[in-house]
Amino acid sequence: METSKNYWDFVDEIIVTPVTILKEQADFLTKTTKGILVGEIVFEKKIIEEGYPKLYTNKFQPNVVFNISSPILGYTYQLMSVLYDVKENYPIQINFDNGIYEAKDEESFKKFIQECIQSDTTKKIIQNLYSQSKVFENNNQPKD
Amino acid sequence: MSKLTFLFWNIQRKNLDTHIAQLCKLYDVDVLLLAEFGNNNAYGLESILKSVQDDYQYIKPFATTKVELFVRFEASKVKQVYDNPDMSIRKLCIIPTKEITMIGLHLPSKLYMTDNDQIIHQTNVANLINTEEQKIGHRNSLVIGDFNMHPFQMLSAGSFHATMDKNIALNKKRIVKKEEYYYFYNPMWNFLGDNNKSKVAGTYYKNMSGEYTNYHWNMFDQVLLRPDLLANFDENSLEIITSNGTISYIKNGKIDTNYSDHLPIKFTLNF
Repeated sequence: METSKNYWDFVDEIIVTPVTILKEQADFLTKTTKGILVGEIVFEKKIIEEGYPKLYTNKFQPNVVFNISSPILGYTYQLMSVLYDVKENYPIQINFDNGIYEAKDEESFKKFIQECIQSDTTKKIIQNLYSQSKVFENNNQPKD
Repeated sequence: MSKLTFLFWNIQRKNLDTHIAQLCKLYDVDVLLLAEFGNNNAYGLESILKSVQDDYQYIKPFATTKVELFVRFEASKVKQVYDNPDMSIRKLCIIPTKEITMIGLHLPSKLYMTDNDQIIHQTNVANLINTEEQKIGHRNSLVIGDFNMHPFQMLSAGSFHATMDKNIALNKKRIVKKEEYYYFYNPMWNFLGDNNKSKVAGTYYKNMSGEYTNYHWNMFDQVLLRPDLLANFDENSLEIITSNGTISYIKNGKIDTNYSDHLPIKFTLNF
């Protein structure tokens, strides 16, 4: 017997979040390289220290890391990480190639992600990891 | 008993091949880590190292790295695990009974990042190290490099949690607000000040005479050890290097920037 009404005014609807966008691009990488390289999205808890910029108010914020892994090499490269507020999604803070950037909304975040992925730095890393992974794949060498 | 001697030097993109080779010979270095390698030729340095002492190998990174690595044992004993624009994680499988996780890093300079941003960055790096340690399955870890921060800026549980006291570090971890935070031991605390531990009070000198706060000496180049490696750490071996045996890297009480603007550090682990 229910003792109270369900107060959750919840609609089963998936919205596009920063994580959705990152996950899509991670999956595209895996698909494009036929699994030689794997795009991974990893959640970490980020502790907001005293003196942190006013962007965030909670002490613990989710930090989302975009990794490129080579299962054959047993190796992972962190391409970028994104810090955001679960309540608002935007603005978000992005760590990429030694810089810290901010995206105000979904549109600017998508544009930034595209620039990161198509940057010379990223292209070089992908090409290098892919080529070396293929060598080991062909030599059939174990990971360790 | 076997030993492993590590040397780290931020070479400021200069060609210091001869000096590096001399230091490697002088200190019998097994693991050489170089930051700000710039356009130097890694294989050229490898040849020079081999001409001074046999068996040095350049470990070519899979992706971009901030810290170039040369070792004096077979390259197959180095396993590349992880890279990001700040740090490189390598497993050293030299001692059969004790695999070592070595994290070489070069964090962004205070010239290009505010104190707040450095805090963000430091916490990210410390979290990532913790995550990778969990994946690796042990904490036989050491972190060496140019942190661009002082030991007293790396104490927070949320960042490196790098204590100045071995006995505290041997507690392994501390709980803060229901969360576990693992310790590092930071032996560089012992080098702060001028009380004879070293000939100098830091690894980087910058006179900011127009500023209210002027440290003059900065302890940016450091090594941190997890408690699981403390039994192997020869604390007397840790040194801020001020000379290659014949040439001093100190001039008029400051670092002679004809070489690098940073001084090298070295230490030994015994097994």
